[in-house]
Amino acid sequence: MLIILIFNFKSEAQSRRYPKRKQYSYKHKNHKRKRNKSRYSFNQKNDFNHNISLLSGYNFGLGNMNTIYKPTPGFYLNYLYREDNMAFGGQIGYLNFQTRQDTFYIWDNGWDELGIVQYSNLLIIPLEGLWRYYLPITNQFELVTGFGLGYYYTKVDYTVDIPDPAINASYSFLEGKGAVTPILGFQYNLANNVDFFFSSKYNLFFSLGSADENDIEYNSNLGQVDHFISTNLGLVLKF
Amino acid sequence: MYFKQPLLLILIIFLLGCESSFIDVLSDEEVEQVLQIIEEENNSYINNIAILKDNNIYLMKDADKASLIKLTNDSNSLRKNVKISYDNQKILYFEKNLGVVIIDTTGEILDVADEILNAEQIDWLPNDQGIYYLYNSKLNVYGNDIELPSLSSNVYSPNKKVISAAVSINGDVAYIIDYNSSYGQGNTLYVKVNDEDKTIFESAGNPDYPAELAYVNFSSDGNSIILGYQDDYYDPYPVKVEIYDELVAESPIKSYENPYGIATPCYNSDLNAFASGYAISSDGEIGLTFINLNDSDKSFSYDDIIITELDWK
Repeated sequence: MLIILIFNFKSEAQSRRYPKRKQYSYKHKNHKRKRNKSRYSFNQKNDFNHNISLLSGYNFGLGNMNTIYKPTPGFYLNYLYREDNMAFGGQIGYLNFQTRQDTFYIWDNGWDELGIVQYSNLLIIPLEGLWRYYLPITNQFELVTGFGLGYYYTKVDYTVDIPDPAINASYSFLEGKGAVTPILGFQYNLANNVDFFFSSKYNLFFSLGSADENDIEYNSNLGQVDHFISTNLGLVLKF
Repeated sequence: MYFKQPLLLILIIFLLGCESSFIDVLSDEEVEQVLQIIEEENNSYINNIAILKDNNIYLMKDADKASLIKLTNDSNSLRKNVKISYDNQKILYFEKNLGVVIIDTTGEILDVADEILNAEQIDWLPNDQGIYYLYNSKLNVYGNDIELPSLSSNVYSPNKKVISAAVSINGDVAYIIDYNSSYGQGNTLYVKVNDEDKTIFESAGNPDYPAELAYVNFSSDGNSIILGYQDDYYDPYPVKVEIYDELVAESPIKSYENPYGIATPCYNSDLNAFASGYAISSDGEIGLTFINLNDSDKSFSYDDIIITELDWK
């Protein structure tokens, strides 16, 4: 009888420590723990849907752009709406490429002297729609990839002085160009709602318009494509 | 979402194939290379002059003195009659006790015609298909079976002699007959065109000039005739040179005089340019001169390149 009482007492005690509603099967409890862990991670990164970043970095021209322009600092401000591991948003930037030298030279077969080309600074104001995908590596560190589709407002002036046929002319281009900008980077959680962000972005920008000379959208520069690399770092504020 | 990434890659590759909106300017290294090309081209208005100098054969690639390269080794046997081929790839010269030697532009000996024991005048046949040479008042051919026109004349003199003869790139023949008859001494130029035995140009010397007609040659394109006059038959070089255009001109288009001598005059009617050795002084030193009749900026004289002969096609 005493043994039975003791047993019952233990059962009572166990019942108090582990309420009935918590007494799931082992498999069920394990599943719940896993879910809680996931939710913990989610709370760290994704409880804040709104991300604002201020980025700065260096931009390196490629191809002809690299021959003419020095690497230049650039600034970006972007907003991303994040859900789980994906985000959508927009970005505006400011880049002002300086020429490597005042005068450049060109030459063609048969010319008995060099042609001279002088470029102004190249101003680019990128406006982009962004899509990003986040790949968590640890609780604090995640890889970031994605791409942007942009409208790059570009402004550049140049003069050309060539001997054959003799041309001495100045040109001024103010042109909105299309852009495709894949990125690869990482994001590191510094504080509750602040991340450090680093990315390397490939900027491919190209003339827009129509190839039809009779079209009002006709653009003689159609088919021209340039590219540069941006490396940026900055802080992401989440709220 | 992943299926879009290959499309993006294809788009990028496609766009990369397009041209840049920035002018394809030269890098600093390319500017250096182009400046060198421009300098070479600026000097290349004249190219490949074959030169006999200090009994050696040289090739001057362009107007730059630095382009002068020596092609032969020293020899004690006298060399003369240097002639470059029409394609500028071969040079021939006569070497005493050896014959006619043909070398390439690096100096490598391609052929030795040891049966040519002497040559008063020698040059390449049209298209460089062998060589012709004047010896004993006859034009002979080496390396080809073609038969050149006979150097006939209407001069009746036992002492007549062909003192100069040339075959043009078109196959025309010009020659000068020197004679000494009971009517006096004289010389006559004959030109036979298109293989026809037709004289279109005949001159008993130049009545306005006391010197004797002593040298004839064609321009490299065969459309002009170069005549040389000597004060004395034994002068080594003409003292006056006349250029007649189109083979029929009644008066020369250009005339040069130098009392000390004008050696191996050459003319290119396409470029309207003249090249020759030019006696600097009475001691017989011959410098190199090139005169572009259209552009004086492209003319030069090098008194410090003392030569014996030159040839330019």
